[in-house]
Parts: sequence; C-alpha cells; structure tokens
Amino acid sequence: MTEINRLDSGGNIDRTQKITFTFNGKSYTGYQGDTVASALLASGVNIVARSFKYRRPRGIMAAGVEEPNAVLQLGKYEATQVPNILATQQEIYEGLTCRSVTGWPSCDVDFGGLIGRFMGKMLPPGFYYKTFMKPAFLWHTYEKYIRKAAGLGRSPKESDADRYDHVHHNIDVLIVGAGPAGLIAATRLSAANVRIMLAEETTEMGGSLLSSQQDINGKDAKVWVKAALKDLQANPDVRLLTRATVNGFHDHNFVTVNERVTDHLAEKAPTGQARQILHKVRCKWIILASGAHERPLVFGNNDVPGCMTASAISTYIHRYGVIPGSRLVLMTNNDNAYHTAIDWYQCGRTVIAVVDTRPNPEGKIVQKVREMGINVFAGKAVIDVRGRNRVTGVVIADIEPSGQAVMGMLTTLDCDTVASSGGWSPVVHLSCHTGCRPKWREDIQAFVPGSHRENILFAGSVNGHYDLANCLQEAVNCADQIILNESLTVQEVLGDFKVESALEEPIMPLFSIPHTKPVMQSPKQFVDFQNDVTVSAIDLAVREGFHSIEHVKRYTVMGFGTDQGKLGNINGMAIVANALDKSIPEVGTTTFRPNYTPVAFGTIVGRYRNQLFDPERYTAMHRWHCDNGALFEDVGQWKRPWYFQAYPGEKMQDALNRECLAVRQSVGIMDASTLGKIDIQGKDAREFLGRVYTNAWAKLAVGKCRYGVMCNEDGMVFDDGVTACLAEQHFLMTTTTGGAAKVLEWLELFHQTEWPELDVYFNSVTDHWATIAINGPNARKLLSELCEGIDLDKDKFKLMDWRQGIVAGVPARVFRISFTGELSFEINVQANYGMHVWKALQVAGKKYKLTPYGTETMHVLRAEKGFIIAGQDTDGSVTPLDLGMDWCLSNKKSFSYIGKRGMARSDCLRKGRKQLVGIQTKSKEVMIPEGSQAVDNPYQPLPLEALGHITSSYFSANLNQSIAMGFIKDGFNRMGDTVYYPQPDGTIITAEICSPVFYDPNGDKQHVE
Amino acid sequence: MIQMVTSNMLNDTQHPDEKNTIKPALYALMDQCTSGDVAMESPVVHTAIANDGIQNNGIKVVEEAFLSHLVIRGNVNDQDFISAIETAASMRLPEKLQTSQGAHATIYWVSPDEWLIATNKDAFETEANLREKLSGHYALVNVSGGQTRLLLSGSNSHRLLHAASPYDFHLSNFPVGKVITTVFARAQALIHRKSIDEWELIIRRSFSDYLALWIEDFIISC
Repeated sequence: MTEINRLDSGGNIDRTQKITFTFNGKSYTGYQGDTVASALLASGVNIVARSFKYRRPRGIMAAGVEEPNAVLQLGKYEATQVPNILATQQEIYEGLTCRSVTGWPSCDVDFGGLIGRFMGKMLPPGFYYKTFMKPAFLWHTYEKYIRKAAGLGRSPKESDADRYDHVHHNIDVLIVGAGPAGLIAATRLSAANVRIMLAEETTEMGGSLLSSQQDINGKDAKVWVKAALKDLQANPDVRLLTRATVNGFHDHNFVTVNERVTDHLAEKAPTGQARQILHKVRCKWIILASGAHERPLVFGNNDVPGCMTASAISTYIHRYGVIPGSRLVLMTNNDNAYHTAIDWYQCGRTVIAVVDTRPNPEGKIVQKVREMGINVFAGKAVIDVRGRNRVTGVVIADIEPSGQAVMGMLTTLDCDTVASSGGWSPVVHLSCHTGCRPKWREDIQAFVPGSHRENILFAGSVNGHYDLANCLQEAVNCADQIILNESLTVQEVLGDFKVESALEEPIMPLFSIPHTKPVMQSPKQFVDFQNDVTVSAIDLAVREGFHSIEHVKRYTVMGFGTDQGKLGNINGMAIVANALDKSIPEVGTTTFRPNYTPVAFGTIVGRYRNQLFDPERYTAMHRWHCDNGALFEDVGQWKRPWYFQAYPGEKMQDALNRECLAVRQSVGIMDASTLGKIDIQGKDAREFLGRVYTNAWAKLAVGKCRYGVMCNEDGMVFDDGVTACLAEQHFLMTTTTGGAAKVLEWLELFHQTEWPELDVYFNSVTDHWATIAINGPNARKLLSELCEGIDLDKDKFKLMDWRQGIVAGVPARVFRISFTGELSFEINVQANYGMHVWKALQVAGKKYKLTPYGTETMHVLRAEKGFIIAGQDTDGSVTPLDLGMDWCLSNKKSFSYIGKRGMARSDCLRKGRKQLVGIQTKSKEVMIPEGSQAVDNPYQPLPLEALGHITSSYFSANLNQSIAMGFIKDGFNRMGDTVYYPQPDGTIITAEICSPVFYDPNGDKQHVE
Repeated sequence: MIQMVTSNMLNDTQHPDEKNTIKPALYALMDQCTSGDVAMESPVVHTAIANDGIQNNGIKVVEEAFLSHLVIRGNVNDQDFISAIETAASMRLPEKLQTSQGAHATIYWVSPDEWLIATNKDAFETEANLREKLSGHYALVNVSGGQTRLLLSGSNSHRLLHAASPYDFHLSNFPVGKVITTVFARAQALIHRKSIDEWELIIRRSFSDYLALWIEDFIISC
C-alpha cells in the first residue's frame, strides 16, 4: 500500500530505513521512527478498531498515551503476545505483527456492526446491573462473550520469552517529562552537582518543542533542545531515559518508572537484554513537568474516523511527516489550536474552515490565520459529522454565546478530517497518587495539581502554564528552589532563556456542543470512546439519580478503559455539572491511582520468576537428597526432604511405610540441619533461658540437654526445642525450622526492651552446623563405626546428654536426643563437612540397611510417640496445660517466665478447655482427615456442637493402624469415650479418645543396648 | 500417661562420670576443622560461581571459599573489650559502617554491638587467641560453615548491586571501606566496598544457591 499521506519532507524519521509490518493481516510500510499509528495514517488507514457497545468503526484520534481507540494486540508468536499496546506509542520494526484488540472477529468486517443498534439497547448505562441478570447461572456464558466482544486483548498462553529487570536509583531530583520545562530544569540543576534523572515517556526529548515553530534564544526551538541534550549527556550525574513512563508516585518520594528498552527493536529482546526495566527511584525532589493533554470537544458523531485532536495532527505533521487527510475543518474554543490550521495549510493541503465557538475571537494568531486566507467562522460549532467509515463532511451552526443551544441555519461543509480542541487538561495524575486532590482553575478551564506534602514541584503546562515563556520560567524557579533549599553551590548559571511571549485570548468554557435535537434524540456524542460512553448515557445516569461523579463513573463505566479516560473524563465531568446545574469543582474531582499507564506483568515481576521467585534454602546435603530420590517439602523457605522414593514412581504411602519400619527396625538417617540453632553466651544466659522457657534451667549441667517450651505473654505455646548446655555460660538452643527467625527476634526483643541488664548475646548458627540425625535400634552400632573420642556406652552417654568427638574424621558434637522414641543421635559438624559425614554414614550404614527418611516419616514416628509439633498441634490458642505438658512448667523459679501470668488467667484454667489427646478410629484402617471436627452425637440438631479438631493424622506402618491426635473438650477426663467425626461426603468416622502415646509407652526403645 | 512418657525426655538426673563429663569452662571452644584429608564443600559448590567464578561484560564474581568467619559481640563502651580485641587481632575495631583491613583478616562492623572477622587463618586459633585476651561480657561465635565471601569486581559491578538492592551505592554515599548489611535480591548480604570497583559480599550458606542463581541470571544478561 502506498503512503498517500506521507509528506515529501519533514518529520524525525529515517527515510532511508523502510520498514514493513503487518496490521490485521495486511502488510504496510513506514520508516524508522514511525509509530504504528503514524505509519497507518501515512497509508491512509481509517479504521483501527470497532467500538465496544455499538460496534462503530473507529480511527486514530490522538498521537500519544491518551489515544482511546488504536489499541493493539502485538506479537507474531504465542510467547510474545502483548495486549493493550497503543499504536500511538509502539514504534514499528521490521516484521512487527499486530492486530486490533477490538472488533472480534475482525474490525473491517464486523458482524457486530449489524447488531450494534440493538447491542446499544442491551448495554445501557449500568448494563452490568440491569441486563444479563437472569438466569443467574448464565452470567458466566454472557460474560465470556461480552469480554471477547469488548476486546480487552489477551495474555499469552506460553511463558514470556523475554527477560525483565528492576534497577534501583537513589537520586536528588527526578524530573518527569522532557518537554521545555523538564529540559530547562535539568539544565539548570546540572550545574549544581546533584544526581538527576530525566524521564521522558516518548521516544524523543523535547515535548511540545518538537512540533513547535517558536524560537528560543533567537533560534529554532529544536536547535535549543539538541544543545541542551548534548550538555546533559556529558554530565555523568544526569541519567536520561526515553521511552520511560513514570507510572507511580508513592509515599516518601518513591517513584516507579517503566522503561521500554527494546520494544521498538524487535519482537523479542536481543540476547542478554532486558525488554523492559522497572526503575525504582528514591529521590529527594520531584519536578513534575508532565505537560498536558489536549481534550477534544464533544459533538454529534464525533467518533467517525477522521475526527482527531488538533494537536495530534500537528504532531503527526512535525514528528512523522504525515498528514492524516486532505481537507480539514478545525473546531476550537481557544487560540492554541489555530497552530494546527497553520501547519495543515503549510503542508499545501486545504483548510476548509476554522470553526471558533467564541463569538468574537480577535487574537494575534486568529488574525494570522485570517491573513492566510483561511475561513474563520466565529460563534459557530460543528454539531454533527457526516460519514461512516471516514468523515465526508460536517454540519455547522451558530451557537449561543453561552454554548447551551444551537441557533439559526445549519450549513454543511465537505471535508475528510475534523480537528477539535476543547482546551488542555494538565497531566496531574502523578500528583494525585499520594492522595492529593487537583484543584479547578476557572481561567484556563482545567484541573491543576492541588496541595501536596512531599518535595514535589510543578513546572509548565501541568501547572497551567501553557505559554512557553511562563513555562520555562516556572521550571527555572523550581530548579532554583531546590538549589536554595539544599544550599547547593552552582558552578555556572545555566538555563537562561529569551522567548517571545505569545499572548492568547481566553478559552471559552465549552465542553459539549449542543445539537438541534434534545440529548436523547441527537446523534451520538461520545465522551469516552473506549467504553462508548455518550452524553446521553451520562444524562441518563444523572436522571436515574447518580449525582456524584464517582457514581456516574461507575454506572456508565466512563474512564474505566485501558486509557483510564485521559481524553474524556474532564468532558464527562463538565457534562454532569451541566446536567446538575453545578460548577465542575462542585461535582467533584476524580483522582488517580498508580499506574498512569498499563504496565506489563513481566516488568512488575522482573527477574523474580521461576527459581528466583522466592529463595529456596538448601542444606549442605541437599544435592545428595536430589540425587537419591527425595521429594521436597517447603518449610518456611527451606526445602526439606519430604520422603525418598526408593525407585521412581514409588507411592508416597509405600515410601513412608518403608521408611517408618526401617527406623523402628534398624536405623534411619535424616537431615535435621534446618532446625533453627541459636548460640547463647554470657553469664546470664542460664537466667535468660529460665525466663523465656516455661521449665527450669538453673541446674542443667554442662554436657546435658533439655527440652523446653516457649510461650507468648498470653501463655500460649509458640515454639519448642532442645537446648544444650555447652559450657557454664554457653548454650545452644534449637528451634523449629519455621520458627528460627521468630524465636531469635523474640529473644532479642525481650533482651533489648525488658531485661537489658542481663549479660547475654544471641547469634544464629543455623547455617553453620550441618545436623544429621540417626534413629533406630542400630544407631549406636552405626555411630560406633565412625566415631572416635566418645564413649557410646548407654550408661556413659545417656539420653539427653551431648558429647564432643570425631565422626568420620570430622570434629563433631553429638547429641543423644530423640524425636522418634528410638535410640537416636544427632551429629553436628561444621557445614562444609556436612556432605562428607553424611556420605560416610551412608557407606558405613549399608550393613544396617541405613534408610534416609524425610519430614513425613519424622511426623509419623513422633506422632506414634505423642510428641507435638509446635505450629501443627498448636495454633496460638493452646497452653502447655492444654497439651498435658504441666510437667514442663516450673513454679520454683525466682523470676517469672514469659506466659506464666497469661496461662494463669481464669479462662486458661477453666474446666472444659480443649485438650490434646490421642484419637483411635474404631476401624483401624480408616484415617481421619486433619481438621475434622469431633462431635458427641452426629445426629443432634444443627448446628452440631464441635468438641475439637484433629491436628495430626497418619497411617502407622509399625502399628498397622491409623493414629491421630486432636483436641477434645475436657479430653483428659474422657479417655475411652467414643466421638464421631462427620465428613463432608456424609460419612461419619467413629473413634475413641485415648492416650496420644501409641507406641512404646514406657520409652524402653530409647534405651536399647 | 503423657507425663510419664515425655518425662523421659526431660531426664535431668545427673550421673557424674569422671571420664565423660566436659571440663567446666565458661565457653565451649571447639576446633571444628579436621587436619585429615576430608572433602570440604563450600556453600556455592554446586553453582556457576564455584571454581573460577563467573564473568561477563565487566562484571566478575568469584568465591573466596573456606575463610574463617567469627562473629564478635561486645560493648563499644567497654574499653577493656576494645583493647583486648585490638591487641589480639593487631587491628583496629572499625567504627560504625566501616571495616578495618589487616594482613590476614578483615573486620567488618555489623551492628552497634556486632562485628565480623573474616580471616584466612585458622578459626580455632583465632578464637582461642581472642578469648585469651578477652574478659568481661562478650561473645565469640565461629560461623565459618554458615557463610561465604564472594568478590564482585569489574567496571560494571555497581550495576549488579543496583539491580539487587535498593541501597545507594554511589561513591558519595558508599566510599571505599564502607560496609552494610542489607537486602540483596530476596535474601540478604553483607556488602563491603573494597576498592572503587571491588565489592565483597558475605552471604549465608542456605541462601547461597539462590543468590548464585540470581547472580548468574544477572551476569549472563548484563
């Protein structure tokens, strides 16, 4: 297709680099530097989308981020699909493939268009609440098709082929927007030895100056931009970012900036490069120079392709050398838009007329346009547009000076393009992100940033300073304010400027053009193009009682598209205000939340996907586990072997049975390195232990270990473990795997805030020691083969003793402690030797059929013995008394202990508390699901009175029956009673209350020869 | 019934035994290294950083494996503590956020009452030497197996840090000799600027596979 709308010269495109791309299956050309939008306009493409409700053809309206229609699904391959890309932002590259997200199944031949008329009836304002409501079960079907037809794009089904990154910045000043204000502020600050970031959303710095014909310092503005950029680039403390959208302004001047690094280069980022970077910027100051978006006027059939904002046309002419039509009608309520008529005229194409809604415009630029011989109709407006797939003409009429009604005769003008300008809306979004409301300025008919708390300054048109001289001066003032506040020394005064002030006549407060017919019968006048919200829809919402702008927005879905109503929201508010006969500020302001534009999930995620999503903590023996069939369980961030498959495909229960039997019959080996280990030193260490544990520690001798329970102040158990006395003032505490950090923090908290007078230090040594537990009747025999320097005799090295010696040639501390009820040793060696000792044990253990086992077997074995797991059998509402662990409470301590008072509360001592007991099913093979609730009578009237839940439930291969622990109200006094566990499937499991110690109740197994 | 069983765990009766009872001492000093020929595995042994390290485009990371790491705890207002450390180590105890460098060791400030000494000398001898000089309230903990030191170097090394951590690594805020402990990727690291383009990272053993993967992911794509 030829580029019929490409000008012979001009535009910042590389005409030597011709690029071919595909849009909706058709091939088009453009040049390096074109956006999809500029290239499509150059080729004379009118329709880029179908509208949401009415299926009307839509064209490109704007040139930037405010574009509501030209929304693309990008990507040739499944893995590179990207939804909701704006044609006005996406630069073309060779082979780019995209299609409209709207207009399923196609935007040119859209069967929706045929049904558009009644679709509109089915989808009135508030349709979510009105139609498709019945029958309710069909909603999911309706929704699927509504969403598909609505065209919200789709996410890829394959995982993203690209890489994304996050980069942190700590800087002094972030300048948002590299238009005239941003550039001059950066220039002025660059002499002050501060770290600056200048972030520009588009591909090129310069903003409005790139399509301006004004001079700065007597030279073309573009020359000034070039010179300023050259100086800034030379400064190592200035970071310049293009294609970088400042999307979120968060508390404490934390700002997120989304840089599209390679989106303009190819489908997939070049090898090794991140496709997008999320810059996380922490800055002392922000200068917000984000500029303003031109808003269109609202008039009949204002969505026909060929209707555009005035400034967009100028941008296409100046930056891309593209003129999107032949015959222009320009409607405006202000002076500024006249520049577009001049630009169009200077391209040698016809300006049919400028239609100015003001009764008597006499500004300098109006005179200039008149002198060019262009028709200027004053006090008139375009009330309707002719054409369906492209503008063919407009209907104009006189309007009252108030703008409320049409007067006189209607005239039709032939044209193919309608530009409109209703003034400018400052891009106040970022200033709102931290909760500040914008304020209305009557003189410029726009919201400007409101009051603010953080160090944020505003410069240029975002603050309503549209005139270049004022804009530059405000930016210079911002820079100077920072220099003054921070007492910075400036080497050289930069950024002085000379600009001729272009005096403009005031804007007319007009947003929506009246029609000869009443609102409900007039041609459709669109306010929000992406969501098909019309003036009559807003009118209806108001008549139905929605008077707050927040309600109107939600009812009509105005501003709810991917464009977030950048073009239409202010017009919509003005229409609501008009309908309610209120002023705009009385109707309210809308506010904005991050993000300013949609951000790809990949960018938010950055590197933190797959294995990097969350740290996996490994022990020193992890590789062995992987190589020997371990399946892993997450415990906190640790990966612990859950069970080991003896052969691929071994069933879990088979593996557990095998492991459980091996431990009880011979010997098993487990990696216990993940248990938290805290080294405690100091003369008051023993006293401190006595205060944080419920039991006594005063007499624990060197060489001994003791089990302890820790409670919160409320008396509820929160962790447990064994602590060894290493020396008079030196202890080693173990905690649960998941509780390690919490316990260390708990100890520090009480030491630092309650008992700073105690001389004690706590240090984590969890990672320093590799811990290997060997359990089973043959454990001693196995250990004796590798152990030197420890007398392993059962009376010399007793249960709850620890000894130092050599294991497999490595210095070790060996603890005779048991969580399985078997003869057990826990070997601690410096972790660098962990793998060596583990492997040596495997070799020596062959003759005992040494079996590695994981956490699940450990759980079964401890449950056979009735040992609790803090966090599984406790839930923060259980005292040691509820667990039957009154033996663990010491009342002889001179100082209290944490939880003592809490568990003495009357509620903790009352009768009928839930107590932990064993539960034995009547049918021994039946397992009760954990969490099941016990009842006395399953046939009692609802609601059933629950007695307590099952906390642990396993099948014990050693006992060849199911075992369980659980809470039962007053359980200690109900041994032998029958209780029932009703299940969701209607069955009822019958069980008996028993002791939680199912295996070896006398503890003989721990003392085998 | 529960009481009967579990009280076995609490067996507290002491059976004094001349041969086996540990000699009374205030602190349990233990030589944890073997003199024998025993395979040691550093925390990053199974990662790309092992052996010669990993490098690309002006960033290099190598491990300085098997150093002795000792945590020192004590009170900065206790002059005896400070002079004992300084005499024993023949090094200054660094001020807040600083390091001090000796011929065989670096001492890193970690927190107001905590330092880390990393040395290529034997951990046991170093600890014994320090304990000999120290008295009063202090703690020394051998953590050599629990962490390792990486050396990050190269003209682009700061880029890796800026991706990994929100901290400000600009020379004006992070001069040579400074040390911090901060978030690094989704774990933590002690970070010391050894020279303009050289950074020491001390990471925990259990997080080292994750961090090595992260570092590798960054370096191959930088």
